[in-house]
Amino acid sequence: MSGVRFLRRYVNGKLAVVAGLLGVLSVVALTTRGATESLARERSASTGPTAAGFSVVAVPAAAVQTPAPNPSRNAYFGDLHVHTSWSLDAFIMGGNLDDPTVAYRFGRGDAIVTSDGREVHLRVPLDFMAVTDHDSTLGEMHLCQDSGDPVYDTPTCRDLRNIQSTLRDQPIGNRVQAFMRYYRPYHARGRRPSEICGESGIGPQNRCYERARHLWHEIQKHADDFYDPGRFTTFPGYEWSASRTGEGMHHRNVIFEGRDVPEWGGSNVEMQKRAERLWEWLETVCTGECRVVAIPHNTNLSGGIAFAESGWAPYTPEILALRAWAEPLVEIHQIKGNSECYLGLGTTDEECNFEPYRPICTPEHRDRGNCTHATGYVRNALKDGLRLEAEYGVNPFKFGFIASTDDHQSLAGATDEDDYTDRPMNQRTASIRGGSSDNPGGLVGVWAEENTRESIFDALRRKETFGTSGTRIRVRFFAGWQFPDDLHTSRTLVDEAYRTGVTMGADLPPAPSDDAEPRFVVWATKDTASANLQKIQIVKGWADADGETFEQVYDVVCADGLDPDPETHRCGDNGARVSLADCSYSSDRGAEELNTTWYDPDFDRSQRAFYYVRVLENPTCRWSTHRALAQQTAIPEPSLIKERAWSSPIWHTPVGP
Amino acid sequence: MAMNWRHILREPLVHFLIAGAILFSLSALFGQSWGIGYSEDRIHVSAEKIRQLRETWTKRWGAEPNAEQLRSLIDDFIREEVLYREAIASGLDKDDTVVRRRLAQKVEFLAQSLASIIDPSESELEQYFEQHTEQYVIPAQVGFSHVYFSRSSRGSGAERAARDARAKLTSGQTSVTEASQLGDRFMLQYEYPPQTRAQIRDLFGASFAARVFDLAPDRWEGPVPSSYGVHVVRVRHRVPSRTPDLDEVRSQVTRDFEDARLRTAADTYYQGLRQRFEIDIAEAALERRGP
Repeated sequence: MSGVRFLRRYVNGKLAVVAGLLGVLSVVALTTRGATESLARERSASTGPTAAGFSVVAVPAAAVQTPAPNPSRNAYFGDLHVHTSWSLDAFIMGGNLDDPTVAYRFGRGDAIVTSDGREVHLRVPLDFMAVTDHDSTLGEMHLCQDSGDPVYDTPTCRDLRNIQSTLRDQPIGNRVQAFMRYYRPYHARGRRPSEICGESGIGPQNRCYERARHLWHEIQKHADDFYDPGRFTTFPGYEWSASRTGEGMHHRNVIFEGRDVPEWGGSNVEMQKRAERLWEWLETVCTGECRVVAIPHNTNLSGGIAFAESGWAPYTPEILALRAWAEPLVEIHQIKGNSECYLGLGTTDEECNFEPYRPICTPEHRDRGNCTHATGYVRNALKDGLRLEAEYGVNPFKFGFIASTDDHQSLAGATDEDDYTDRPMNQRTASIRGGSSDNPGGLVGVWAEENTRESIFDALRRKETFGTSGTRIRVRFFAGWQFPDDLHTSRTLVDEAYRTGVTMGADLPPAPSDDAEPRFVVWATKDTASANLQKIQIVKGWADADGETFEQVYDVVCADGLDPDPETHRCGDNGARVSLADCSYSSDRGAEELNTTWYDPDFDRSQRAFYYVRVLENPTCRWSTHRALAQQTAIPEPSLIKERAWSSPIWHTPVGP
Repeated sequence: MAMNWRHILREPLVHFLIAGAILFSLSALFGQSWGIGYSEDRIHVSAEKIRQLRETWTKRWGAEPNAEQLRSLIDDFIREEVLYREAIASGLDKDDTVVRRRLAQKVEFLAQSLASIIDPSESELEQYFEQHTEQYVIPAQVGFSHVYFSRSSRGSGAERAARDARAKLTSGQTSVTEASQLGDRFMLQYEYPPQTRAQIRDLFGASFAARVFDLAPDRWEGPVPSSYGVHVVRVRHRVPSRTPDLDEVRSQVTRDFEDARLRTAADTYYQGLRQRFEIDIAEAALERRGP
């Protein structure tokens, strides 16, 4: 017997071990080095003068105490939308150097090395996160990288592994599209490529399903391994990424609390890309201690189907109620643009011209996913929800807000504008469209007693959440019928407001009397490392008796002694400026914190309405300006942005017929 | 002497060589019953082989293969064997770059997988911990209470108010609750258990984090500016930076050691093998340059 033969036999017996090693090895090499260096930097920083941007500490877990649970709740920041090379597009963009463990390490503050060889770490570690790789090709991706599997040597798998070199001259977006073209005809019919997967459907005959099922266990294990109660909370999850050819995305992140997580139920492909099947499946399997939220995202790229009735999913009271249960939250901002509102699509709000991603659809746009629609925007959905509630008795769009990154290189929570330079996602957009419409993405904030799965998931479920454009603004928002007019000046504002009112994400209770009017209390503080706050706005939407919907944006408190004009509801310019020579900004304008007690001058007790808060910072340089300055190229427009935070709404529903 | 032996026996390379030697001898002795006899025109799938296939599947997927799956495993195996024999017969193993590279890779994976199987010994962990102690140093921490004065609502008066409050606090007997009443409402907490400098920086900003580590403990100090305003601060706990015992950080050290061993296993293994060869490079050819 030859040595080769011995080896071969031996190897066959060790397939299981060998399979996992490919990915693990490279990843381990990167992360361990990073963590060491990050510690070295922290030490030097703590002995010398304050160094701007010194690294985070990877403190041995048991060494640092965590504050006791706070009944008045703390703000925790997280990222619930992160991809690793387990996602097909992320693999094609960045190769196989990362996996969920790398993303979790990065999120908790360790340094990692990116696919283009840069060592990076977060300015501020995240408090919580979930890795959400795409479900569609989870199994195929893993099979094609498993050298012990028979499909490893199929042409498709070889192409996938070699795509970096074979399509070297193509922009990354084209490479992704080239590969998706292969899957699309199968997925469109709810099937799998037989060359890789064997049979389609749910069961062991579908090798891709089986592999995805196995990976679902791995996903849960990684989330469990990195969960460090009190310090760093992780949730098992994935992205249900149904895309309809010519129609755009209707994607959801499915996030479980971590107890009683159900067995893999197939991806959106097995569910024929129908969201109601996802909700039905969750309702069926997520019982007992299981808790789940599905969070729609990139509704701006949904081709308008995110918040519209369609032929294949007609509204019924049952399906709308199911949807409201499964999807209490929506992602309002991320790398691929803002989904709050879009100037010209149902609004004249000047702040809706914020990180727009695609142009408004015209008859010339054949692919509806490449342009943007009114029914892809959250504010419009909130308004339509009021109408639907009157018609069906259930509001399917009673959303709390989150924001996240949707990073495709494991860089969870890396939202700093001055640190967002040449990510593959950026290169992709730049090379496809010659523009720079990506942005660093956002963060999700929650108000929770402590940093644990139970406490944070409770906050997600009750929608006591806010989204930011990446900044760490903290925002409180309460409403009540009996709040005093000066509640915002009270030292015990938070306790009083919880006791006598409701907070973001909740419903005002019925009015106690016929002439009662609600008071709203807002309070926000700045990000310690960003510009001061410019103003706090309240966005109101309402429906009249005929079901017609309206909106109004009120500046409710402004910095620098400015007061809103009673006609326009806006404050004047506070004079905050930015130097485009070096991105320095006026530190003498704006406020460290803003608060007020507000009443709605147009309040009508008989109308359904929602109110949410938007906090705006003074302008700062957009990431594209930082990059242009670093590369000494022309500064593209827009050169500045106003970072912001959005609180979940509070709803008012009239009592009686 | 005994120590040395124990040491050698723990070497992943030695494990590999021993395991290899045993398997090689066994397969040479019992090759027939193990898998397929090496006769040119006969493929015998033995009971032992079937057991092996079943075990591999079970280990991988956590459940026994059903009859259909097992049948398909055997079919795959036969198909592979037929094609493999044809490849050998055609001499493809001799001079094919792809085959050579794949085989080389697999040997490396094997070395690594063996490295990952063996639990590290106490002395290995101790040695690793000693060599990398600096990685496990616990940074200095400070726990404190503070009273906040908002610059947004008091403007330049915030500093003065803080100074007044400090004087009041320093002179009298003031409880924490009373102390916090002197200042303004704060978005974060009024009291923190020991936190590292990075943690404090993330909450209060860099200048506050720098100052608070220099404050004398157990007295009201300030005003200390933060990103939000100014504070009067009382440091309640100072925890100096220290090196933990191995036991405190054992799980982290074990994970780091295993990571490091995995990274070096392939290379160590290669270096070991390389020593067995005399390597001769046609140096003259290196001089030749392309046009």
